[in-house]
Amino acid sequence: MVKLTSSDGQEFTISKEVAYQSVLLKNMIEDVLDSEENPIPLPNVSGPILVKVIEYATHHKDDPVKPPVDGPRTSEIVDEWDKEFMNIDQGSLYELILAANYLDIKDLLDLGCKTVANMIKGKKVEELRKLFNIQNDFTPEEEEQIKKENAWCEEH
Amino acid sequence: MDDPFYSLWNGLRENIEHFMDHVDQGINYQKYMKLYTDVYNYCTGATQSFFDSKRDTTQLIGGKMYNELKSFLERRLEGVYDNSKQHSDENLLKYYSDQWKDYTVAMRTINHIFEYLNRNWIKREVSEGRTYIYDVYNLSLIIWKEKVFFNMKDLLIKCLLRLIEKQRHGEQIPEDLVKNVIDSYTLLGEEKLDDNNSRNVDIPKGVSSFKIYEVYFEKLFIKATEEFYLYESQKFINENSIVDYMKKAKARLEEENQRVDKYLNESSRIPLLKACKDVLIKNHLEPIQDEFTELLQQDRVEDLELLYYLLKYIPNSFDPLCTKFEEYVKQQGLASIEKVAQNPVSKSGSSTPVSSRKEAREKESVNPQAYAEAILAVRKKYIKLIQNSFSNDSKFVASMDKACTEFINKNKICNQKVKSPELLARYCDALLKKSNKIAESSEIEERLKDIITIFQYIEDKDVFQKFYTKMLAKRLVVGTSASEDLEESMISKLKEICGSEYTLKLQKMFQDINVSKTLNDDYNNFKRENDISSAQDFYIMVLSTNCWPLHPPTSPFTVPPELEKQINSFQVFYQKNHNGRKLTWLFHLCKGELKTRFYDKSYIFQVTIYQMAILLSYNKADSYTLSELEDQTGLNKEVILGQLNILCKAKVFLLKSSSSGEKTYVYNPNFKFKKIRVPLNATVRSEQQAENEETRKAIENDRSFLIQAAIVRIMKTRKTLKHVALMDEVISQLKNRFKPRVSDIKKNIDYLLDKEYIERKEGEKDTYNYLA
Repeated sequence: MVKLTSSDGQEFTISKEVAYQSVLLKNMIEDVLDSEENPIPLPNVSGPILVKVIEYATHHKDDPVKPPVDGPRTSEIVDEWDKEFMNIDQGSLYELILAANYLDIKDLLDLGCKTVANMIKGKKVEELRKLFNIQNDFTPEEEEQIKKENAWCEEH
Repeated sequence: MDDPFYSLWNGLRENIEHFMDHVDQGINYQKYMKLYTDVYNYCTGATQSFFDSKRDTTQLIGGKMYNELKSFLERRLEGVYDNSKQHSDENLLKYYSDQWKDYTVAMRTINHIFEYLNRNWIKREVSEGRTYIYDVYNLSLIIWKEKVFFNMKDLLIKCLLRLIEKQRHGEQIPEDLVKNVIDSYTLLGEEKLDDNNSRNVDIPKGVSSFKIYEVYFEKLFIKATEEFYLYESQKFINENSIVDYMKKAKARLEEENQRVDKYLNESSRIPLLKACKDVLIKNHLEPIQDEFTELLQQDRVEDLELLYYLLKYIPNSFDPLCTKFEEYVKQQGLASIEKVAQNPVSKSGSSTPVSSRKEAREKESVNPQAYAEAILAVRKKYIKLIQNSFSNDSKFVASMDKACTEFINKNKICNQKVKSPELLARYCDALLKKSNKIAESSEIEERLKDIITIFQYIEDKDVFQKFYTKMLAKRLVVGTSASEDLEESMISKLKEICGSEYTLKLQKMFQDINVSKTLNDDYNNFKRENDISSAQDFYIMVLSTNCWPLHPPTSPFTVPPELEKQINSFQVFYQKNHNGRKLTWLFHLCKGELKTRFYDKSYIFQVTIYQMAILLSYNKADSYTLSELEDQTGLNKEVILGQLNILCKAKVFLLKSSSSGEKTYVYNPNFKFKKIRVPLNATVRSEQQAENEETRKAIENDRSFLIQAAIVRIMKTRKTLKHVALMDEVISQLKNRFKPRVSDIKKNIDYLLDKEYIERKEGEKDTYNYLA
């Protein structure tokens, strides 16, 4: 078993195979001859997010190793469980993506990015500014210039 | 130092340094996570807001950390090299090995701690084509190579080679240490070079990369190996026997093979062993090859195996041995046959009262069995040797076959009248006869197989065929064949080797015998139906003239009246069923039994039909002169004398001289014999010899026909052919039967030219045309 401590001091105990979904944890457990009793501190992951990560890792622990994808990648999420799992508020979504990046869980990172990509798809600039809370810092002249340069993508 | 990066880096560096200094203590989760998170936070720029639009987010962070790490490792390894100068020899290797071990173990973990840098900044740099950037682990190896390995390589190889040489002298060495150091060569992998290869004088210009292991270890190691064995092998071979040298060489080869397993790269196995074989075997090839015949002579099977084991690595080194082997086996065969020739059989074939003691003195009386067994013994011995010592090598098998062909077809006995094929046929005859005393019936099959083994070497297969046919005919006619199954099995074996044409007549002979059986039944029915009674039992064989090697009798014969009726009635019966067929009576092959009533004991005389005719005359009188008997039997003098001689020897008759000086044969009332059955029908020796002589002559005739047939066949398909080519084709067509003599072929070509089957092509002396 492996003990983890989140940034807010919560402790979790998970099985090795769940922990091994994270390349970081896998490398470390193999490199370090520390006692199993000692918790592994994860200073960049909060308790609630770690709960989500563990949920994901537990669900996918028996997945076969996926072959690398050739050709264009799509943002389509095939797995229904994954779709439902990602049905969370925006703040948690970003934190989850950061945690996946930090812990080096490639599938979860991909899933997070796809979810964000799907949010962007088909939206107008103003909608996106609103969605991601981005201030428009262009001058009107700059904005006109950009619109002209990117006219091709607005056409349809 | 105000830069927040340096305060982060300094902390990181101190921790890494501490870890590297105390690798054996390891690192705990706490520290590991702290270091990983530091790298992560630096690379993600976590000090700045994730969504800070002031930052150029397309640019990844990491270059600074990479360069700091690189120069930290460089400085550290410079120190490692500096400290190495305090050590030498084995200690130096130990120092290098320990440092290497700690360094690589630490770097594997450090690589993981910097994984985020590997995954992002380094990955991006590499994908953008900056080939001088490596992931942290490979970076660490490259720095080791530059700062430690290249500075120490000359000393390292010297120490390694010194240790290996010590081990070759039988000393114990720390193999683990050697293995560790050599493994570092392998792990350091390839060295890429710039265009002018300036750093290394050993590497030819233009080479862009080479393997560290091969250039800095293997090449030098093999060179040292060659030098070592060059000296050792020369010294050893001068001071010891060749066999001891071979043992030593084998042990050395095995030792070097194990050396690869113990601490070398698998890739070195082939070049190392090749170098060893060149020095240990190829360099001393001649004395080893020269030892071969000596070992053969002494039957040193194990040493021969050793010799084979060593030489099999050297291409073509067997060729002179095969020649020697062939010659040796041939000599063995000839010697063995000579022994047989010097000890002719002294026992007489059968226990007839008329057996001739002369037999043993006859030139022909080489014992066929002893002859065949002598050949087989030699062949078996060397087959076994090839199996045991030469791994059944086909080259040696071929040499042995050549040797066998040589000594079976040309040997002391063959130089006399009787040749191998005839002896072999006689051995078959002896085995297949009812009276065979050579082998149990269960063994006969085995022995027939042995005969076939020899038969395959026989060049004159046609001679064997002639004699075999002759003897089979006799076995069938006289009824002395032991078993039809064995006869058939032998024939099918011959067929397998020579084809069905070869055995066609043999099979037809069997058919005739079987047809005759039913014929006799039919005849007996015919007699019953037509009320033909006869006082005698009668059995007849009707055989087709072309298939049987039998000749009509040489003497006229008057059938005695007692038998005439029987013969005439069969003639009637047969002509009725087979109109137009001509029956020739082979009286000289007929035999019968007579019951005596005039002695105190009743005997059964087993006689030829000629003897029967003579004896029947004595029912009328007790004494006849030779001319009287000639008149009555119609036999010519030569034949009747032969028959009478047997009867006189057996004391059935007493030979007297009449007053006129003529030979007179008188009935002997005091005849005695230990058994009831008196065998009197033995073949007269002189007859048999004449027969054999005849057979040999017949073979010459047959060969002429076969050669002519072959020439015509070839010319018919080719139309035009050069003389030499025609010769070759004739020889190759006939080689399954016999080996035609060139002079015979020429003779037959001349004959066919005369008969206008072929002609000489105009203007070209050595070319023939076919004439339709």
